[in-house]
Formats: sequence, C-alpha cells, structure tokens
Amino acid sequence: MISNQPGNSPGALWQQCLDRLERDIPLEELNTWIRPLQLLDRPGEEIRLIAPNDFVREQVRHSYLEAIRNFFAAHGFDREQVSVIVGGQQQRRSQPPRVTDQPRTAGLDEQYQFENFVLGKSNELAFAATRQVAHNPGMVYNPLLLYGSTGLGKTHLLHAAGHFIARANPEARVLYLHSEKFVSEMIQALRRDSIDEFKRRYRSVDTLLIDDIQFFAGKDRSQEEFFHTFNALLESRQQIILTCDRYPKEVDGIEARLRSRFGWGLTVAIEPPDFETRVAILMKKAADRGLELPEDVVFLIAKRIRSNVRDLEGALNSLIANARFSGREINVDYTQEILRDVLAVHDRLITMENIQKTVADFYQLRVNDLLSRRRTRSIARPRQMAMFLAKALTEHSLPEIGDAFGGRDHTTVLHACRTIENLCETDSRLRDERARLMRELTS
Amino acid sequence: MAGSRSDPTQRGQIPLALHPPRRPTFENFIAGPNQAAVDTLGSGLESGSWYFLTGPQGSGRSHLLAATQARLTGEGQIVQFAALVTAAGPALLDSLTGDWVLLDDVDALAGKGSAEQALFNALNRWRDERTGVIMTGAGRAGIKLPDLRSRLGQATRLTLHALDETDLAALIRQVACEHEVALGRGVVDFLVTRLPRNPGTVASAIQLLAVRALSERRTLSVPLARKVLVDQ
Repeated sequence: MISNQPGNSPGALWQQCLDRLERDIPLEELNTWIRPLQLLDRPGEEIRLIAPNDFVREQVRHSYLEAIRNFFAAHGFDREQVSVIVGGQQQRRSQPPRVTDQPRTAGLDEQYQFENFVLGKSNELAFAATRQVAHNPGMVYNPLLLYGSTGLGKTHLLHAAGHFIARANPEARVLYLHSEKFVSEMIQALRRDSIDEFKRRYRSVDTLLIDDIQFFAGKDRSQEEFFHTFNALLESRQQIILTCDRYPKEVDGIEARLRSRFGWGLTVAIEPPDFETRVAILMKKAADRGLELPEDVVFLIAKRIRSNVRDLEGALNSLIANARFSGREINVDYTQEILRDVLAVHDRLITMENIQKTVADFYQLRVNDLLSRRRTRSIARPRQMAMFLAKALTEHSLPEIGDAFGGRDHTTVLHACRTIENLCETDSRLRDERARLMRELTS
Repeated sequence: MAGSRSDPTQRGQIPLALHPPRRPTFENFIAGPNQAAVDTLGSGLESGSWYFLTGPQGSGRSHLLAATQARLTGEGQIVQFAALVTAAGPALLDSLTGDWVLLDDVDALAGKGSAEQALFNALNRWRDERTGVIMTGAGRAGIKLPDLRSRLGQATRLTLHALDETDLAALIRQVACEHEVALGRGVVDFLVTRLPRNPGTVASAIQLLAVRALSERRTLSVPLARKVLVDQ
C-alpha cells in the first residue's frame, strides 16, 4: 500500500532512492547512468523513469533496475510497476543547432563566411581558388581540393564557398558534410536497404562539400560509392570541393582511381599561419568578442603558439574566461600565468634536441647522422629540414643552430633554410613532409 | 548490481550509512587559487561553447564536473554525462545529445584508436548541433589523432592548481564538519603537512579518519590520525 504522505510521493521517493544509490554506486557511474534519468511525473502507482536514449536504458535495466525496484518495493510499490523507458528529449533544447538543416543548404554553418576569413600569406592561394570556384561553380576547377594540417581554415573555406554559391543562385542545392558522416549514412542506407535513395540524394546536389577525405582511407565500400557519386556530379558539371589533411596522393588506403580523380581539378595547399597572420587572427577574434587586447599580449601568444588557428582560439578563450572572473587586467604577466601550461607544452616540444630527434625519427635516421659530416642526399636533406625547423620554430641564432648541428657555420644554416623554402615551392612531397613535421612539433 | 558496494549496516559496522559520500557541489568545493574556474563553471558558461577542465589527478575535476551537471540540470537544461573511464563510456558517445554534454576523464581514451575516433566524430556532431561540451582530463598530450588533438585545443581551458596550506586546512575542517566529527588540537596542522596537496586525496583521507573517529566515538586527534595514516 502506498502512503499519500508528501514524503512518500514518487518524486520524493525518487530523490531518496538517488541518495541511497549515491552510497552504493561509484560517482562516475551514478552521474553517467542514474542522474540523467527523469521520473515521469504522473499520479498513480506506476514509477516510470525516462532514459535519454536506448543505450542508457539498456545499461540501467541491466545493472541498476534491480536495486531501484528493491527500493520502491520497500516503500510499498509493486516491483513490476517500476520501469525504464526511452524518452526524455521531450524537453526543448535551449539552443537551435548551429548548422542549417534546410535541404537547399544542408550542413552549412553561418559563422563561416568569406568576409570573416583572416587572410595571410599562408592561405591566400587557397582563399583565392575557393572564391573563384564559388563565383563560377562547376566551371573552373572541379574538383577543388584544399589540403593542409588540421585547424588551418579548410573547413571555414568550404562553408564560405557553400554560402556564397547558395546566395548567388537561390535554386542551387548545396550539401556540406564530413566524410565520416558520408560513411555512416551509407552504412545506414545499406542496413535499411535504401541505398538508391542515398545515391539519389548525393547525386542530385549542385555543390557537394566534403571535409577530411582522409577518413575514407581503408573504407572500400564507401570509396566505391563516393567514386560513382563523384563521377556523376562531375559529368553533370556540378561542383565538388574537398579537403584533406595532407597531399591526397600521400593518403594510404585510398584507391588509385579515386586519388587520380582528386587531381583532375585543382589541388591547393593551406599552410600554417605565419606570425603576422596569427596576430591578425587573434586581434580579429578578440574584436569579435568586443575586446581590444594589448599588442604585447597578442604578440606573446602569436609568437609562442604556432601550430594552428584552433590552438590560438583556445588560448584566447581561456585567457578571456579567466580574466572575466578574476577581475585581473589582461597583460603579459597575467597571460603567462593563465596560459602557463599551454605555452610550456609548446615550448617543450620545440627545443633544438626535440627537433633533431623528431626529424631523425621521421626520416628513420639516427640523430648522430644529422650531426655528422656525411653529405649524401638521404642525410643532407633531413639535416636541412631540421635546420629549417630550428630557425622557424625557435629563437636560436643561426650560429647557435649551426653549433647544435655538429659545429657548422651559420652560412650553412642559411643555405639549408633557403634550400627547403625553394624546394617546397615546387616539391609537394617535401612540402607535405614539412607540414607534418611542423604539426608534430607544434601541436 | 555493477559497481555496488556491500552494505556496511549488514556487516554490523557502525554508522557509515549515516554519512553518504560527499555530494559534489560548488558550495563544498574549496576553490583557493581556482576561483575563476569555479566561477566560470558556476555561472559563466556560454551555451554551445567547449571547455576543457584540466589539472592533476585528485585536483577536483570530477567534483566540479558533477557540480556543474547538477547546476545545469537544475536550470532545466538537457545535460548528458559520460564517465569515459567506465567500460561503456566510449560506446555512449554516439548517443549523447542535448544542451550540454559532460565528459569526465578524456585521458581514458588516449591512444585508443577507435575511441579517439568516436570522440572526434561526436565533437563534430556537437559542433553542428551547437551542443556545449565540458571535458575533464590531464591534458591532450596522449591523444594520437591529430584532428582530435586540434579540436581539444580549441576548447576554453580551465586549469586547476594545487591548494595552499590555508585552503587545505579549510578543506579538512569542512569535511570534518560535514561528518560531524570534532577535531582535536593541532590535528589540522598535522594533516596539512602530511597529506598530499590535492583535494581529492585530502577529502578521502578525512572521510576515512572521520568514520574511524565516529566508530570509536572519539575526537579526531593527532594520535588517531597518526595511527590511521600509518595503518594505511
């Protein structure tokens, strides 16, 4: 029999049950599985707990329902009247999704536009090519493939092109998605026996924007389907823009015929931002938040965090969030205090010794080879690369770098840096190696 | 029941059950040098933003995350939580959605290819859905997938630092008070100099000492503390 005392209402009892479970279940399990449950507020003798999804429901049924039933049974409820069902998302999200689900511009994120892309030497070519494609979709470079390390603005350009195309042609259907989503939608279509619908969807768009195609590697069935989608779109002169985290020919596990097609249009690199661009990015992002940061603070962050735009943004956000509540003035001392860990990680990675070790490992050499007098190409080029990286990433002088490489003259270091810069203009493989080493050392 | 502990009352022990484990709240967290992080989680979260709460093991990351979960849920927001150290944690990622997703101990995924990939995919989805994400962990150094490392770098970083002696003393008094145990002369200073300086360890140690003092119906004194710590 159930008492009608307020303390024995289902709501009050559920709270008591939580208190009880709190003693018996480790906190991390309680937070993951029990706290998301909501009691369905309905008068009567039934206790219905709403789980946010099937996964939580199954876990609760399997591991905790017995204990919950025991508790309610001890308070006069019928054990079988205590159940866990899925629901719970009847509450309305307080924020609408960032990306549009309009069929005409699916997946596009409003925040990424050409107008708010910070231009610099490292990304001007990619920017110009993407704008040109957006002005003349299907007419100039098809496909357009942007490649470069993570966090350099490839996704921004992809969305910006999509918005531009959709605005210029109100009839155009533009679809943006990450390659993983393509794969998971295809798997679902195969499961549901709706692969024809899947094919129709992708082949009927006017512009297809796919991010991070390196994740197609090793997924043969997805590549097969993407290959046919790709051909169908190209034949009907619909625009394809792709991004990849490295030169696409270097991605293992992608079929040769697909790789060859990626190269049919234009392939453009996007490089890590140089110092001036990093400064401009920080100033713009601070201004977007209504802040004007002191120049020396901006210079400090831009000088020490070289890896990518995401890290710059993360550092800036951390600084602003901490300053907001501490009431402290944002100056160089406070910035060093707040970003101590982040800056230390970056500094730790880019010592001369670590550069030498990383480059030696990358080219499967010994550090001693880099320091030796040997001048065979297989050793000299990695040595030049290591010298280039030491100059680009550390504040050591040229004579200091020369000393660290077996007592070489500073003119040798200068020559090495120029050689790498010149070769990277024309040698995409070397350019990719440089980008990968930069990424390894700075992120 | 998974993870259940045996019922102390059934083993004939004394009043453990009277004092459930400390419920993590903002009020019972001694902030010390971490006030800005606590305030951000307590009242300064920006919806749709990502946060990474870092600090060494035992610095109070999980405590603050659980307190944040309670606060956001209390405000009527849809909050889902995954403790990634649990066996099912990584598998849960794909099903999490809401105003906020809270992930405890991202380090648990480090170096595990498919789990890192699952978090990367989930982060992409949450970005599109404008879901706020709060993660805890020691950092991202162990993460192998560059794309994931880069996304973690974008989060606003809130770092928890070690407490000083004054804050540790306050924590000791607070936990003892929660357990309604009297503190003997000099025991706070004794414990401050002997316990590690992270709040998680200190809170656990004081709970242990408090239970012992209560079961022996004694004041938590220096001799008792010394004896229990030596036994440990």
